[in-house]
Amino acid sequence: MTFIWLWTDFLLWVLFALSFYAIIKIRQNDLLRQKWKKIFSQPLALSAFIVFSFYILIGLTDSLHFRFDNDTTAYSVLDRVLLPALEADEKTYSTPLNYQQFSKEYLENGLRGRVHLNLVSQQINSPSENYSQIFNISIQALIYSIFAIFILVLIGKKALAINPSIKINRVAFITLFGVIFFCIWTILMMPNYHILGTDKAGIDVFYKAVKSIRTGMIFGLLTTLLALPPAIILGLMAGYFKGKTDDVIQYIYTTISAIPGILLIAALVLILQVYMDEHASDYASTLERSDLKLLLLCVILALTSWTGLCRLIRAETLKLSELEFVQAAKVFGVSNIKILFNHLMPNVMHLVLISIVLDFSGLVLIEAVLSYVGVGVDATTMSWGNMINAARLELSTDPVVWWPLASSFIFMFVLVLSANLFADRVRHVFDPKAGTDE
Amino acid sequence: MWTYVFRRILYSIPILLGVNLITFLLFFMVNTPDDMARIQLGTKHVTQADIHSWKEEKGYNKPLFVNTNESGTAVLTQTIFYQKSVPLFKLNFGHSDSGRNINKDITERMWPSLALAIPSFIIALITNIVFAMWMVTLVGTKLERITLILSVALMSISGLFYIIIGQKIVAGLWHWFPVSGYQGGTESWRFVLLPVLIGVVAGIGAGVRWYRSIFLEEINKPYVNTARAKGLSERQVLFKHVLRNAMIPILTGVVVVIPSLFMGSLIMESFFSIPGLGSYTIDAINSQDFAIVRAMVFLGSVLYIIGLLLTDISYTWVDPRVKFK
Amino acid sequence: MPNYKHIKLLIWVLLPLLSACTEPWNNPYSASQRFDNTLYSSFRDRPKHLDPARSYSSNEWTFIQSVYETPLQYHYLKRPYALIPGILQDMPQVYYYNNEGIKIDPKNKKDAAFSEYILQIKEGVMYQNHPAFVEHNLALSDDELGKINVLSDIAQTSTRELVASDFVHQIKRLANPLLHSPIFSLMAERIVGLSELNTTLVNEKHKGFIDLESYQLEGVKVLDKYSYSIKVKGIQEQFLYWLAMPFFTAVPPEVDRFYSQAGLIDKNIVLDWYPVGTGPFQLTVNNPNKEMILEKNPNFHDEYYPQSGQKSDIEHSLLVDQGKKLPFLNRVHFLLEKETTPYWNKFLQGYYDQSGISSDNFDQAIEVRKKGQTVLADRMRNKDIRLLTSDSASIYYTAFNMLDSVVGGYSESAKKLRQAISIAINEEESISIFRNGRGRAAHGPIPAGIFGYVDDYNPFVYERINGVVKRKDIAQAKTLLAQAGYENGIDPKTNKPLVLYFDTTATDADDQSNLDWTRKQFKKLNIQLVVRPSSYNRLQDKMSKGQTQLFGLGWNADYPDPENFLFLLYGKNSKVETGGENASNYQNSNYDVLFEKMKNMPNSIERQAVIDQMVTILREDAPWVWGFIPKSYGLYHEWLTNSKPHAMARNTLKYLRVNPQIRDEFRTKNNQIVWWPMALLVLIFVGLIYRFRNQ
Repeated sequence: MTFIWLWTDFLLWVLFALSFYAIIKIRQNDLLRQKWKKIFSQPLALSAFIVFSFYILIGLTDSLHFRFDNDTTAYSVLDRVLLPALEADEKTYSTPLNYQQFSKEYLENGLRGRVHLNLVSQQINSPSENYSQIFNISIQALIYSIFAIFILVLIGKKALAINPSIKINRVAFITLFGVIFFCIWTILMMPNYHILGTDKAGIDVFYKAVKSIRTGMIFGLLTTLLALPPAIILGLMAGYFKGKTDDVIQYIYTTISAIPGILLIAALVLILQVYMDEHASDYASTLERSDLKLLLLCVILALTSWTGLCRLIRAETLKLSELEFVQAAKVFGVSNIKILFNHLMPNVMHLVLISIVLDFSGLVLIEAVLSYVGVGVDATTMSWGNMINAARLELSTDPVVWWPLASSFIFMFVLVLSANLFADRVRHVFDPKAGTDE
Repeated sequence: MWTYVFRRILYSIPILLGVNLITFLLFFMVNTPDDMARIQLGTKHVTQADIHSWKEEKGYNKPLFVNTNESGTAVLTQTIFYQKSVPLFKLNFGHSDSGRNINKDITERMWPSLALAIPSFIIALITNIVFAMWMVTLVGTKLERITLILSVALMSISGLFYIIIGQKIVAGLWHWFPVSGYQGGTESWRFVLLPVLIGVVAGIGAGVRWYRSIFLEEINKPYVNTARAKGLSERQVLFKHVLRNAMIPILTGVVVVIPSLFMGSLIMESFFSIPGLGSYTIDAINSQDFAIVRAMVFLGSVLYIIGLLLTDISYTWVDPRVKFK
Repeated sequence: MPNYKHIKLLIWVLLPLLSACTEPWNNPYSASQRFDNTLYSSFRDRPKHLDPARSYSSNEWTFIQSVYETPLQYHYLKRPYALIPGILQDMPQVYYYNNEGIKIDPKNKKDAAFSEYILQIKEGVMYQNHPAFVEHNLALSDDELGKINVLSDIAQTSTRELVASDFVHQIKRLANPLLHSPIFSLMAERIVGLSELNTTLVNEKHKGFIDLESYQLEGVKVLDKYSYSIKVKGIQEQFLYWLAMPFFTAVPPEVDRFYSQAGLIDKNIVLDWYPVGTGPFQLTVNNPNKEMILEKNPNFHDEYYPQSGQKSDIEHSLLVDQGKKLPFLNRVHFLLEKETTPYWNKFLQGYYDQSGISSDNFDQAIEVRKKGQTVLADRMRNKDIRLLTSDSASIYYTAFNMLDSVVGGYSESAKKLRQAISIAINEEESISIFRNGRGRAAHGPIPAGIFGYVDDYNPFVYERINGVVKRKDIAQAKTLLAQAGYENGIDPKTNKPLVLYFDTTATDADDQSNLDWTRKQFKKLNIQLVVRPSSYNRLQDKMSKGQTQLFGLGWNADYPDPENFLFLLYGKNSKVETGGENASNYQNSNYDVLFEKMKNMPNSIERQAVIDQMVTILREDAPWVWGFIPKSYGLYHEWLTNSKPHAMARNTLKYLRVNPQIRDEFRTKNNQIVWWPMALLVLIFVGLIYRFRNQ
């Protein structure tokens, strides 16, 4: 077994490590700790955060790729978990949790009827048998998850004994229970059912929707990560050095933001496509090629989105550099670089944080739009945009093939909603201007 | 004031130059004229000679930046960069790669775009402000929390869903509106009604929250309490004072987009077959007509800069305290 | 006193709603067109070219062939497809000449160095009214040009009679280097003097307008006012088919001159955009952003609906209008429709008269009965919708690059590898999933309906068990694969599963499921398929450099002759060597000899025998996975009559007839507004207001 490190895998794990580092730093800093505590004191924000972290967890398990020695296909850890759904070789559409295909066709015996799905046990032959099995599995899942939460509570009690300042929160508790139940239910369902049905080519929709999480994650997180260095460095420099430097930097970002964003993205992607077409033989596999395209797409988005944050940081730095502690540092002969990074940068980090959380949902949403315009991720990459794009044509069928569209909708909605709710709270706590309303 | 406007216009020239250079680099350095020829000449029986004569016809056979075969200023002017960039500043976009006059197409296609964009913009502005005001009056109630969460939920839905579902159900099943299409003149309103409606609903979540935060910031200022103390009714306070004073932040966000309305909506127009500039751009992207994409990029930048200018001017109009520097 | 302001408001709101009760509210057309004798259709991509010398795409030909007329045309009803005179009085006469230019007996035509076609056109055929036929308009002043925005701004129009020299002019235009005619190189090999004319024009380095009248084209001559001749090299049995294509229509020289005015070109008023012809319709509105409208040409000459057809045509009431003057429609309105969902919705609402069926709305429209018979679903029949199916003259296939070191070559093991793959790719399943059975698996390169097609089976992929022809099972494919040296799909060189590369232009998200499916087929043999999506240009590039292994392609027949399919595998058309259409670079000398023999034979038992031999060779060598032959399904509303699908002809609009009364009844019935959601919304709104008033 060999591990394969795709570019985006690598960057996602770097990001993970960075946030781990940030958590340690935050724990050391009293003020920040207070602020984060304040964030999580709102039940809604806490449950949003739990859901959000759950998504991230799935995205991370999908970012560990490896290949068996006697095989040419690369799998991620998530692929192995979802293997039953992936390998059940269905022919075409089936509705969620069904045991038969969606449309009728001629069977071996010459009659017209619905073909039994490969994944579902052959013993199930009527809707009532089907329902009772689903019911049984669900009950099982419920029992297991109650057991799991019970253990968690026991552990939690111990933790409470150590640190009595943590309060158990009812809403968060319910969310946690929901997430655990969902996990267990899915794991139990997976080998027996196509949870969200199958698509036209007989591929499990749940598998596609879950695999799309990673794409959404990468869009939302990597783009901002890539946009941060230019935004912070240029923003700080413009605000601190002023004069010519400021003029040049202002000129650069005004010029870039003057170009209509979506057009600039579209143009860049078109060119990227031509380029990748020409150099198609350089990429060893489909996976690597589509991954590179995904990464470059994030780079392109970052190129067009760093300007907003840069402007904010510049304005903040302008204000900060007039303050005493900066002036004092200058007088003491501290080098410019040190002032920039040791004195100014920590004081604009709240802006960075707000912009990360705020941009996240927008970036996830824009992926779908880009796919529609035809400049989105590679067609072989599983993403919600690609799913929506394919599914919108299926809406003209009758009876409507609604589940691919609905699945992508729900998965995307939950992620974006939790990100938005969390972002709201973060801004509320960190942004002095937004803090006035409650 | 006019000298200020003039100075601002002068300042925008280098920005447009930069935009021009960027788009030029994008389109010509990576995508060679040979590629463009192949895209445009189609699929069957294309020879190298055809490609050559196409390039000559469209003026793509010159060097990119420096023409060493010429002398004097012609070294710079007889190049693709000069020939293809300078006319842009006169808003002369020339011909598309498929041979059509872009200016003519733009003037034809701007009307449907405006017919869709202007009502969407105005109706969205009014509904958003009205709802935001209403939410401000709810501060502290349970209903406020519900509406707040509802608006977050609304803005968490991808715009594509609003369009797909709206078209499918409202037009397809209920027969309220034409499913798609467009007729000019007095009948156009029937065709833009559904897209406008969808546009307003899709934007309401984000819009309401934005205006609400602006109003809340205002409402906590001391003058509001003074006004209340004077015995003005809550409605009077809101409309006469808060709205008036919230104008500046509203203007910063709003005026800048007005000129860009001209560019049309990429997705809405293509879903509803509205022959505006948005669908023009999408078509150009799909058929890889770089001349059109470039023209639209340039036009968009010009409009953005005009928007910035208008924003500054409108400040003085709303708030006489702001002076031009 | 009542509050008038509110009542007024109410009236303003209700007025349009009331009017909606009489006329469907969602009608996408203007109310005044309600009872017009108009056919409604759509286009998805705007036509790139409407110049008959430049256009080579079937959706553009729908417009071109309604405006321009060709020397020959296809009989509308007869099957197999047959050519009849179009604008000609009779079928052209052919004479054969030897190398010395002496006429020889047709019996000895094998020795002919040239053949000459004499074409006699109808007399008294008039062009549509057009500004180009007014002398003054050929040189408009700048002042006049400034006032012109669309073609109809030029008030003065006129017409003139069609003459033979117009046809000659158009053939010269094919050689015009500025027009980039797609068939120039093809025709230069055939028509005497065309290539020389092109060389002359290229050498003179023209820019802009070329006055073709001052040039001679050696092989094409005006004989008298109504007749002309075309001289071609050797014998070209298929040449007549080309005469039914727009490339050989008539373009008057003054039209070329008219459209060469710089002031018009600036306004996008060019021949590529505003066609001028003698056909049944004229293009009056050409706004490709929105709509294109064909209107009846008032000057159209007498042409009549066919007197006879197939036997079944009578029961399908296709001969009701026999002998009546064409066209029946006053107008054909094409609307831009990018998405299929709105199109389908509008078709069901009665706003489009006909519709194809995509696989997504198939189940809604069609029920498959036993043995793959298809009938219309009840819900469609209740709406009086009719279904017509027809074989199309095209084939979609997966080609192997015969020059490739793994899948190519002619060794026994290479053949077996290709055969194994051919068995593994289950075309029947693909057709049933992605096309709902609208097509049949191909057993060779010639589709049904074309001469040379035999209803047998490919013994290398199929076998007959108990009288039923079935695809060989995967075990046999695995055996073949093992014999080819890839035991269980393992490549002995790497000891890993064999990796093959598949190039495709299908890059949309919609195509994704198809590619997933293809990958699954190779997985059955434990072969890993790497799909390399690329643009069409890039694929062409790779193919001509021979850098492909497998790739998917399709071919639409130019004309209904087996030569047009078999030449795709003719050695001298090899893509890598000659840039021809033989993309798999297949080269088999036996096949090539037979091809040359078959090419100029008339349809006969002998020809069939030769074709059979060729197909047998192909099946064994398996240069293609034979893929499938699509079947086209068309849905037609009750009020649209005389429609019969034709795979070759594009000038069929003139035969169609609509009944606007029936259509209007249908529209009114099927577009009643569903009120309850609106009522519900109002109720919720009122409820909300009420609640908060009380708070």
